[in-house]
Amino acid sequence: MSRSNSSTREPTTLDISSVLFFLLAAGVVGAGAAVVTLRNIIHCAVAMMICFGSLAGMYALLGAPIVAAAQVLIYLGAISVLILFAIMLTQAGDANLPAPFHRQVPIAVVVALAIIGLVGWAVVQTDWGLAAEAASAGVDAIATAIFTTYALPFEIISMLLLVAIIGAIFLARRPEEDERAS
Amino acid sequence: MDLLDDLVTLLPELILVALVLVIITVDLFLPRAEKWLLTPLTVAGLILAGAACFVVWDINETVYSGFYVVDDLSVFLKGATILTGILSALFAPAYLLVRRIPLGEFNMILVSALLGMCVLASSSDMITVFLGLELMTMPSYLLTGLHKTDRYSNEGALKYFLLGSFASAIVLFGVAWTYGLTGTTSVAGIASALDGEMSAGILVAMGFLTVGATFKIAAVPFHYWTPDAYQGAPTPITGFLSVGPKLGAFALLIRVFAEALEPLRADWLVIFLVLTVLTMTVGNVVALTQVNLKRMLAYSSIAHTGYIMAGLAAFANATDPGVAAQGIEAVLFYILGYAVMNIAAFAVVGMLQRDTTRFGGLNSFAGLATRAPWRAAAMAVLMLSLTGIPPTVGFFAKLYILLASVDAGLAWLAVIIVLNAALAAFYYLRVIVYMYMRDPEPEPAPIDTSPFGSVALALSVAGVIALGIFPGAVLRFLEESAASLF
Repeated sequence: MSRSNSSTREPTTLDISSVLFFLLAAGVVGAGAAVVTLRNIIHCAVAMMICFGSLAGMYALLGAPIVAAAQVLIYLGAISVLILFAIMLTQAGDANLPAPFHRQVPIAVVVALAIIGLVGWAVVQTDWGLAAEAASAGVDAIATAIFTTYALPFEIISMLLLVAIIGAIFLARRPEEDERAS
Repeated sequence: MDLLDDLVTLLPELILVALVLVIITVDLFLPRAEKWLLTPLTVAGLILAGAACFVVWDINETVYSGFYVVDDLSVFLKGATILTGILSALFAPAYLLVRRIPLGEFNMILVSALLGMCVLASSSDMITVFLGLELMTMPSYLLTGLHKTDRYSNEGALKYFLLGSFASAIVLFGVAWTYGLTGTTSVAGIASALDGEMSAGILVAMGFLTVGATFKIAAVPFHYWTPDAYQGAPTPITGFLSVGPKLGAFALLIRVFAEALEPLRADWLVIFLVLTVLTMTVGNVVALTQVNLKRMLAYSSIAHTGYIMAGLAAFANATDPGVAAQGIEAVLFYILGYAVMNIAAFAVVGMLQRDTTRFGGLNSFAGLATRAPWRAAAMAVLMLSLTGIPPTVGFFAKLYILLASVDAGLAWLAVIIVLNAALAAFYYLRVIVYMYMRDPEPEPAPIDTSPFGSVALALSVAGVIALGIFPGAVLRFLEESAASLF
């Protein structure tokens, strides 16, 4: 989506934002591929952080600084650190896990390439003019929108989080704590 | 700001939110011996929410900046949702208590799932569609895994969670594509921006949305999570899972395919027809070979998904708006009837699992007629209804689907449905044969006779028969609901 965005602005010359875009894209795709192919789970986690970071850069490049900031704070900050902690606390010694789906690699590669081909073809074929118009939003505009236009979705998300928190606590609680609680 | 004025149109949802909070709070203060009080509390709250549906009937307004539509279609689906909630809340306690699964969490998570289904039914924007979907499925994963000390429950929950979140991501990707193509997330906006023109991008968007949505209704070939999740979940909850999230997912299908992608219905019809035929046939054929009743009902629920999809196919193939409306009415009636009979059927299986080591095998039904004649009779009625034999709701549900298919010019589909129903008769009637013509096992499974379950079973069977004799009672609601799409 984003590629045609930048290319509609400057179709031929290789300006700085195009260079940045391709660097970041390489970061997202390369790190994404590393997450699913690396054997050591800590390496996977680090690759995932690179993927998240490049994506944040991509958002900033596309003129969505608030989304980029949220990406850094939530994904790069909170989620990645959480995952690293989870790995640290659950791994005993060797971090090299046997890959359970290893035998499906050839099929997976074929399917993935087919989907990339299909999606890539569709991206090139499609006129993305409408999306380019819609993009761009500043911090204050988002802040106003969340509490007016998007008030209802915002409240639905709060219910979703409430259920998620209670559910997570319930599942994580030890059975003997269940006994005490009930 | 009209944010506050619009609140009244959200009355059923607001009651559900309040109910969630009340359940959490009351649960804290109830001593263990009185936890059962949570069940009447939840049911009372749900009845109140159901009554609120009548307040918002006939409003037909789009509120909250176009994110939410309170039309008769959504209110009908909300009513059906709340009905499934009431039945599940009544059926579950006996099964949960012997397994030491806390009632407070169960009721709270159940009501949140209902809330998600209501949001889904009312969403008129892809953002609310997705949020409703998540608010419905996240509690569903939790409900599957509610029996924490049971390996099967864990396995089912994990499979459901992984495949379910994958499907959600695919839906979201489809939404992103539609947004990129049309520049809007509003259902009406997408419909007017598409105007029937096909392009590579739309094809990909539609592909993602179809895969994601059919995953959620467990249509073949995206059904692999269903048997494990359904078998692993506590039995009365399985009844809810086989109906509730499916009801919500069909609401999603109606909103996304029958509304947003309506201009392209000739294109998605082809995919739907293939999936419909595959779904009912595979579901029925595999169900034939199951000896575990939970698994059998799981596969049979896949087959029922196929029948309901046939109604959507009839909608898409119809040229006349009246016939198209008939397709949607058939879908709504089937969902309603199926909800009642399937929850009750799973509940009877659950009643025979009072002994926690029982897994719901067909053998535990042997000679049930002599041991528990009322329950056996109820189960027999439910099985007949699932087969589609008059005078039960299952008969009229199938009849409406068949009529809609024939009127829409899909007579061949109607033939396949009838053949499938005949196939299904074998495994449903086998349960009746076991109950009435076999001798009980030497050590028969103890039967649960708690009052809540018995009341709910009596109500469901009464409903199944009443709707089978007077289907016209809900006809007006069906017609007005379907009319809000046109």
